[in-house]
Amino acid sequence: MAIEVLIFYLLAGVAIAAAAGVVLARNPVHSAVSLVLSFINVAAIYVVLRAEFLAVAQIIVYTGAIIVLVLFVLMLVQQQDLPEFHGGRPLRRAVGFLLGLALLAEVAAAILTRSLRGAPGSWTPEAVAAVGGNIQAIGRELYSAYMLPIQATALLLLAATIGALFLARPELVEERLAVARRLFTISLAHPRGVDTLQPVAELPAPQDGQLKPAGGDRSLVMARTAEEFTEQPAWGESRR
Amino acid sequence: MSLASYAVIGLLLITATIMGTTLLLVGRFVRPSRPTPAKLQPYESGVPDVNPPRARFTPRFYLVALLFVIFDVEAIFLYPWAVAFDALALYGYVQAALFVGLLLVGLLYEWKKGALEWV
Amino acid sequence: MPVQLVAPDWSLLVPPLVVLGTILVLLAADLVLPRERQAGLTVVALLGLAVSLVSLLAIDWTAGASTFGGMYRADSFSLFVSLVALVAGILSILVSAGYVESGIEPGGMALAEYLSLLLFSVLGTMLVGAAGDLLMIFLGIEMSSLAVYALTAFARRRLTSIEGALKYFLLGAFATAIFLYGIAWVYGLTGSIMLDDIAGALRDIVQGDAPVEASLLLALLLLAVGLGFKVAAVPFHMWTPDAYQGAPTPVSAYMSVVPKVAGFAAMARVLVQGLSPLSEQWLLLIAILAFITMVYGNVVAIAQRDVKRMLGYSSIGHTGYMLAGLAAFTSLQPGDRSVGSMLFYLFAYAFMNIGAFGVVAWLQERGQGVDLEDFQGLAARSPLAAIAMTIFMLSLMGMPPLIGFYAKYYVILALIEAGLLWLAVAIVIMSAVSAFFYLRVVAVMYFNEPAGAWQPARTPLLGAGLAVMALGNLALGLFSGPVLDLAQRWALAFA
Repeated sequence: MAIEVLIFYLLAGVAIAAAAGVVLARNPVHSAVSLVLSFINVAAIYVVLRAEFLAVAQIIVYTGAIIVLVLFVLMLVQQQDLPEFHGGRPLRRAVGFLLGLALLAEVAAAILTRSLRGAPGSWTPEAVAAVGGNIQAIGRELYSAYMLPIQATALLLLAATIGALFLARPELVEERLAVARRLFTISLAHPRGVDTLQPVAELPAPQDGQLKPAGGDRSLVMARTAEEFTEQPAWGESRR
Repeated sequence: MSLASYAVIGLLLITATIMGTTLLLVGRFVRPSRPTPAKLQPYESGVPDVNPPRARFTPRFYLVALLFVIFDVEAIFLYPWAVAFDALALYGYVQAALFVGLLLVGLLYEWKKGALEWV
Repeated sequence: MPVQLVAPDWSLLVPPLVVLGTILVLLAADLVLPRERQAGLTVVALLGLAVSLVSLLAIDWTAGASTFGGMYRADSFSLFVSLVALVAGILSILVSAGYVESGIEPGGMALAEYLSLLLFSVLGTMLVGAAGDLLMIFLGIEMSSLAVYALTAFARRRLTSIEGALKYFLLGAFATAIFLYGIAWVYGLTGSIMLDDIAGALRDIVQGDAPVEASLLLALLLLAVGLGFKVAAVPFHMWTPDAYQGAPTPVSAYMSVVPKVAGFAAMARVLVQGLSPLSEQWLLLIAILAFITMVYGNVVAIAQRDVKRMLGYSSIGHTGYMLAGLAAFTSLQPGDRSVGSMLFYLFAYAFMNIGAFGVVAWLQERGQGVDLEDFQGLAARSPLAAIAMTIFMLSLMGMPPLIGFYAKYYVILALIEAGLLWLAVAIVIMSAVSAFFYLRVVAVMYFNEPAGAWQPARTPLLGAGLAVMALGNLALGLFSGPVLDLAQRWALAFA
């Protein structure tokens, strides 16, 4: 038992230190990496608590998917466009710090003086072992007693999909792209957007980064820099 | 399943950490270090680097990542059903079908809206 | 351990399932129909909500039946919450008819997405009302607010819209985390997430005069703070003014009512049904929150020139009145008016506030802005619109015989019965303060000369909606008895 407690404190300590790193790091990418470390430690704590499924879910969803999303957002935003970090008025910072301390004291008091403990449920370690393990037990419980929450979760994900789709769709350039698609093909594979055999001298020079048709049967998009490609939206011409 | 069965993983982690740091440290002290300006330049296929290292990504990556998160969560939810489906019988099957069906609506929606197209 | 597979009683779920079906129809229609031919979807959404409203009648709510192992409860409380959510949903769609397709918001708003997200939010609110455990409350609240975060940003080319949505979303997500942490504590301390079981466990724990453990107080605090954000109680209101001002006007109308209904329904379920043995502890907390909220909202609203922002602050003030209704809770006996008065207030608020935002939208469709100046001389240009706005303003103020007066009256009655005289006095004083900014709108409409260009527009559905709401303020005020009786049956659900 003692070794488990020791491992827990080790993991919890690293998790908290990494979480502090998320807040304190000045470079957002460093923050994201600290977050990964924190997530992995929390996952390891789940393993210590014998919640293996939760640990795997934590790794796959949080360290896998969520962090990728966070990093993409960081890449989308130019760092020089971001406002100064660690800003705010001194008074506000002081009040925030004090409120944080108060919450910490409250949680500490609650943990240290706690004597109540809810009655454990019917899934004892033996019962879990009898059905083959943690995930089997969760599956049985989740898809029998928790039918309504499962379906509500599906609805929640559906609503999130629709909302995210509408908001993330860069429609501002959609019409421009629709025109471009009718006229041109875009080639990412060639350094200057050339995808037919044509002497380079015959190609019209791009002006002000604008897209220009190159003549011939098949139109070309000229792009001098990668940014001209990246201005294109993720959306094709709407199929409707 | 006791925690002891994870000892192997713990051992592996410790070994990996020690080996990694040792190799780096040994290299740090053994290798000669005589920097010149030319040596310190970032190297990219012989071409001097002109763009800032943190290039701006297109939002389409963001959209893909967003959809990935949503379907990742779905996959996580289906896993417990997959390992317990024999005990859950038809009841569980219908439920999982409902769950997938609702998300299928979302997928169909994305598809028809062209969110899965890369330009 | 054998798996217990119990077939759920789907008949109890007909009203939310009808809403879900409507959402699926809307999504399918969006994929099939070209954008130009989607105008009819508004009617489809209205019909869906109306059918769901009618299907409420088919269920015997007095029996207090439940299904899914008690996670879904079809009782008198969930009936009233569903009723308010559906009515407010219908009124909001009437307000948004025409606005969404028009070019008021640069780049336009996608109608099908708008309607389906709005219906998702209604569905989430209905699920909160019917929730029997903390998990369903959480999922319902999330569904109800997640859709509204997206709706707030629906004017994607207007930066204020995105700003409001961002603030709303970040603080909302933060509140969700706090609420979840509270749920975790409650589960750890009582061993259950079912509200009735929690109440049972707490009744054994809290006995006699022994001081309550710090951990229970922490759990209570976390739950109250998390829900406080959702209903925009001061000091958790920071997102409200920006979100209300930035969102497209029909969305502001919607989010001032339905997500608030979800928040208050969750508060009633969690505090009154689940944590009623701790009522001595939370009653004071809620009473103080109610007082600060009504004072702050009403005082700050005085300084606003932007009518949408003014209505945002006034909505904070009304949150205070509703919280006061909850603070009047004494016991789960049928004679207790507290939760009933809060529910009736929410019902009344749907008619007053959606109407007020509706008039703003009506003006916007005629080329006007949303500042106080844009209301100048409205009485000369359109007497009917001016009368409607006057009714809404007077009702929000609490003028008899409008519904807003009765809403406040029942809250004050409940407060007096509970012995909270100071809070009752505060409501009366704050109503007097609110007269200043509500009547200013009326004065500007009637006593100033019209200014600015006026573009006539045809908005039949919006006009009908405004007429319904204006008449509803009058009629439901004069004949508030049946609705109030329905709201007062809440205690049957929790006992």
